[in-house]
Amino acid sequence: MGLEESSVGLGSLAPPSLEQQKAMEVLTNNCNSCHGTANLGGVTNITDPKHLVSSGLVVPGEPSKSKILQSVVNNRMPPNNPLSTSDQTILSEWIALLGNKSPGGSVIPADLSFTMPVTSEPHLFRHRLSKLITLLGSANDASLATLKDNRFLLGDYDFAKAITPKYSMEVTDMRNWLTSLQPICKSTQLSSRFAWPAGASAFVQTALARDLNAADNQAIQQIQAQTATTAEKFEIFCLVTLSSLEFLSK
Amino acid sequence: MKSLTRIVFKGLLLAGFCFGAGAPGTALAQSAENLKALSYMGYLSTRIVGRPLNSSEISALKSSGSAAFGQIASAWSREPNFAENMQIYVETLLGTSGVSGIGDFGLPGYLAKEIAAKGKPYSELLTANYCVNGSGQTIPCDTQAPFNAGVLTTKAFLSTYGGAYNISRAAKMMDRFLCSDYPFSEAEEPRLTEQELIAQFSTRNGTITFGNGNDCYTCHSQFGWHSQFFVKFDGNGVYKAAATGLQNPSTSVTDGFSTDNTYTSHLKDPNRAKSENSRILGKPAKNLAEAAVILTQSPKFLSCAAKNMSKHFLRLSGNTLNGIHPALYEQIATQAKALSPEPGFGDLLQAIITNPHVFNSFKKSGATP
Repeated sequence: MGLEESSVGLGSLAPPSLEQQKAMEVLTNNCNSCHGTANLGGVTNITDPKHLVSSGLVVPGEPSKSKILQSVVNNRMPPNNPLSTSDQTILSEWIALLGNKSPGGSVIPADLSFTMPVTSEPHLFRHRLSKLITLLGSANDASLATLKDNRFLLGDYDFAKAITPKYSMEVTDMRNWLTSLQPICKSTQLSSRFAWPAGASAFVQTALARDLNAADNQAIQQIQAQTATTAEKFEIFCLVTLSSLEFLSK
Repeated sequence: MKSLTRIVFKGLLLAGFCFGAGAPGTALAQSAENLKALSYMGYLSTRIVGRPLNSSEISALKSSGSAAFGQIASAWSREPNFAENMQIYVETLLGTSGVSGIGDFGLPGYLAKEIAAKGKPYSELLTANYCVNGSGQTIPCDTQAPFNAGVLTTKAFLSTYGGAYNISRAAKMMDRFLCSDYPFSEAEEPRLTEQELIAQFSTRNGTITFGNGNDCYTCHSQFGWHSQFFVKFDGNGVYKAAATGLQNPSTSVTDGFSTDNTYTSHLKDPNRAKSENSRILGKPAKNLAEAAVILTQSPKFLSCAAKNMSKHFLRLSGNTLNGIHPALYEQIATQAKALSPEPGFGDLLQAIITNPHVFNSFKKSGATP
C-alpha cells in the first residue's frame, strides 16, 4: 500500500494477506500442475483467488460450502496424495477470512481518520517534579518532602504497588498540589535563587520556558502593590506561576 | 499570609490573568488551517515532551502549518523529556514499574528510556542484550539467563506475567508486541499436533470450550510453541537451567506448575518439555532471544508499535480505538520505515504526528485553537 495512494484521497488495495499467500502456496505446490494452465476436469487457474471465487470453487466465508475444500477434505484431491491436516486448515481459514474481504486484498477506505478524544490533562507528575527540581537546583531539597509524600495523590504511579497513572486533575488534586507547593515557594533556597522582583524573569523562563509577557508584568506590578514582605510577595508569585494552567498543562 | 495569597490569587483570576496568553489580534491574521496545526501540536507537546510549544515552534506552525510537523517532531525526539515519556509509555504498556520484593521492576522502562535517548531501534525493546539501571548505566540483566531478550528477560516482565503453563507470558508477549491474540491462523502459526501435547490441551471438539468459543486444542496447539520459550524461568523470573517442564507430581500443587517454582510445558515428551527449542511464527528458535528477533521481523511488529504508541499518546480507548482501521497503523509503520529502515521511538512518533489522517482526526474532534 503506497502512502501516496491514500494521501490523495483514493482508496487503495491492501496486499494479499498472509493467509492468502499461504493458501496459494498450498494450491501451487499440490494442485497447479493439473489445474494451472491445464484444464483437467474443467478446473483451471487454481492459484488465482478471483477466479476461484468467480468459478464457484470457493464460497467466501463458507469453507464447508466451497467445492475446493470439499474435494481435499474427502481426499479426492489431489489423487493418491491427500493434503495434510495443516494444509487443509490453511485453505479453510483463508476461505473463512474471505467472508469479509474481497479476494486479492481488501479495499482500504480513503479516509482513515477518526474522532480524536481531545481532553485537557495536566503535565505528568514526573515532569512537574523535574521542573521543580530545576527551579530549586537540587533533587534533595527538603522543601520537596511534602510533594514527594503526595506523589500518588498527584498522579504519579507505581505498578509494583498496583498504583496506575492518572491523567486528570480535579479540585481535590489542585488543593493537594497547592498544599505541596507551599513549602517549596516558602523555601529560602528558591527565593534566594530568584530574588524578588528581579528574579521573576528567570523564574518564568525556567518554569514556563518563555520570556515575561505583558500579562506577567501586570501581575508582578499587582503583587508589588500589595502590603507584604518581599518573601511573601515571592511566595505569591511562585504559587500563582506554579499553579497556573500553563505550568500544569498547556 | 494565607488570606493574602487567596486575595491576590482571586484578584488575578478575576482580572483574567493568564500566563502565556497571546497578544490579541495576531491570531486573526493566520489561516484557520495553520491555527489548527498550532493547536494540534500544542496539544501533543504536553504528552510527548512535557512542555508547551516554545516561541520558535509557534512561529513555524503559524507560518507553515502542518508542513512544520516533521521538523518539530524530529527535534522533540532529542529532548530529555521525550526519552522519559517513552519510559512511561513502556511502563504503561507492560504494567511494570517501581521496586518489588522480587527486584527492580523499572528495568523495562529504563531500557526504553535508553533506546529513546540514544535513537536506537524500537526493536531493541525485544532484542537488547543488555539492561540499564535507573541512572542510565549498563548493568547485567537480572534473570541469570545465558541470553537476553530486552524487556522479555527481566524479572519485571517474567514475574508480573508468571503463571500456570507460562500462558500469560506468551499471551502478553504476542499481544503487546504483535497486537495479536490466540488463535493465530494456521498460515501464521502452524499448530502442534494433538499427539505432541499433554492431555489437558489436546481436546478437540469436546465439551470444554473457552469464552472465545474455541476448544482447548485450537489455541494451546499454538500456545505450546510460545510458552516453551519460558520453560526455564521460574515464577520470579530467575533462569533455572535444570527446569524439566514436567507437572509437579505433588497433589498439593495446582496443574500448570512444575518443580522449583517453574511452570509446566505443553509438551508431552519429557525431552522436549525441558528444552527451550521451539518455534514462533512458523520459524525455529533455540530460545527466547531468538524468538524475540523473529517477532521483530514480523510485519505486524511495527504496525503494532504504531498502534500502541497512538493509543498511549493520543489516549485512545474503547470504541474509538476499536473503530480505527488497521491500515492506519500499517501506513504509520510504512512512514516510519521511510524515515529509518530500523525505526526508533522518534521515527514512530514522527510518523504518527505527521500522518494526515491523524491530524484530520484531531480536526474532527472540533477542538478550537
